Amino acid sequence: MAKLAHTQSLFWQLIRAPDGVEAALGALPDRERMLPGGIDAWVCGDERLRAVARLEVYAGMYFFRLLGCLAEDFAAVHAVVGHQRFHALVRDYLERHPSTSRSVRLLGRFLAGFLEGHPLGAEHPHVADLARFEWALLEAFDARDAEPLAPEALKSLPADRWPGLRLTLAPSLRVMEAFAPVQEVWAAVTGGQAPPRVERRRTVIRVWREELRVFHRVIGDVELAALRAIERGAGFAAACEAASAFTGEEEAPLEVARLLEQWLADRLLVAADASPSL
Amino acid sequence: MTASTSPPFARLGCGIGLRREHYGPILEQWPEIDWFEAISENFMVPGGRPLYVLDRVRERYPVVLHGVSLSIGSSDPLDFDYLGELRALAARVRPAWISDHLCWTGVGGQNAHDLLPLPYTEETIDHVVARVRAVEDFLERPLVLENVSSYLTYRDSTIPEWECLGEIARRADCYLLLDVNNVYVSAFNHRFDPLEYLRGVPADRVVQFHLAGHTDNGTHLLDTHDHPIGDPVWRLYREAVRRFGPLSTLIERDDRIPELSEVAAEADAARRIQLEIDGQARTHAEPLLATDSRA
Repeated sequence: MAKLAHTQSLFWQLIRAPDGVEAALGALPDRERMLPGGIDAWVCGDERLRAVARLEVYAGMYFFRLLGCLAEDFAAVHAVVGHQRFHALVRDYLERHPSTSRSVRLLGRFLAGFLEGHPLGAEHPHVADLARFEWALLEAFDARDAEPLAPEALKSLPADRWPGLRLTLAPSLRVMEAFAPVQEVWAAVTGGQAPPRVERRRTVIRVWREELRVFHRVIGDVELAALRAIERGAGFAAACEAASAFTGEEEAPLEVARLLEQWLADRLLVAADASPSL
Repeated sequence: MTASTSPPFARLGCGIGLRREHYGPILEQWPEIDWFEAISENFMVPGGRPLYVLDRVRERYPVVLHGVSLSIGSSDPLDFDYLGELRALAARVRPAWISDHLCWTGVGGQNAHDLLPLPYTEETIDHVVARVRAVEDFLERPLVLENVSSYLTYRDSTIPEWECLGEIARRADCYLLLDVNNVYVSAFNHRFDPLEYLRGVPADRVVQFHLAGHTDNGTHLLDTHDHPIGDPVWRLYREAVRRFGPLSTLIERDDRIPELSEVAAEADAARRIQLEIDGQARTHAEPLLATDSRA
């Protein structure tokens, strides 16, 4: 299999090279050993299509297929930075993060983080957050299904069992903190409008799916604190304690109870137990 | 045993690829489509709309799972995480069969998400045969392998592609999905006779056809799946039906996807060809690509 492995390694190196096959051939280290006799001794070409051009067909298909996937998954980022810059971004991204997954669906999982260190991120200060928001929407879209807790599920819970109440959040829930209201940019762009300019303003967004539809909502610090506590496995009492930093101790239980009602309505809770059961 | 009588490979008729753009009309109208082919990787997700749609479709239609990432020809080890997900999906969907491609899609743990060409050599045959057997053991079912479109030939390829396919099918005891458009595209790109390809593929191993459109780039044909099926491909399909029988046929459209009815109309056209040819002697031949200067 040594020959096959060599063929595939060389082929892959050439078709994913950011400056094209010809340039990659020129820059090939140890070329005499890697490609003895040159490319024409390795791949058949003819007057219609030279050997290099045949490899370029694959290079083009590779890049443009993945560019298309990322442009679809990050439609708002694409619209904000423009096609030319998005093209350049994808070129840089694929060089740093070639796909390591069998599913192209996961290709963009590092894009938000990559943008933070990319010149485009400095030029468009909120674009990394926008990418993070679009990724959250994608993750919520096909997250694991879970039976939501019925809205009346907590109504009959006796008062003495509330402090020990444990809650489980829907697998689709994503909570993100952004430096700007990037959901407004997303809404404008996906609604066919030009991307609006947004000011720097801390914005907390939760993204979740109800049945097959994905929703998002801007939330406040109380809800953020309570959700983070529940994500960590805390019970109702601990969630109240986390929320009390913003509400004061007295208001916290009532405030978190109100949030619970909202979460039930949004089908954000999938199972709850009050140790041992409801 | 011939493929046509092989129990796992029923003749499903003429179906279409299950594509996101058609989810709405399918779930609303339940159109008269013989069967659907689902791209396996599109449904290897934890939950949500894709799996919901696939479950509903499966309640009413036969479904085949068609993969694009098995990478059976890669020099990387087989990915048993991927195969585990495929097996779980198959347990959920109960597909008529599972297919993928005779190609490689990545190396060194990285994925090109493209169907890359293999050198057709003894080394490749040995390698792929061993891997197909391992996959079949793991999935506990026969695998169906499709011929890909290709744009280059390696100098050290010593065996015609059709012989390579046949040899792998025989030795690994797997089956073949003959993509008629891919035969046509590769025949143009590598200047071989597509009829020789059809004659060279073992008839008892072919269980399904693919039909699709391609793009003529002048110097080469590109397998783009973004056009209606071209006349030369229809003509080659007639020859394929004559040689292999009225096997399950699938219309693929992956880009510039038209209304469901337009794709369904191509499935109807394939069905008409099958009905017409089924009534004729299989040995009947008419001049086809011999008069086609492009091939």
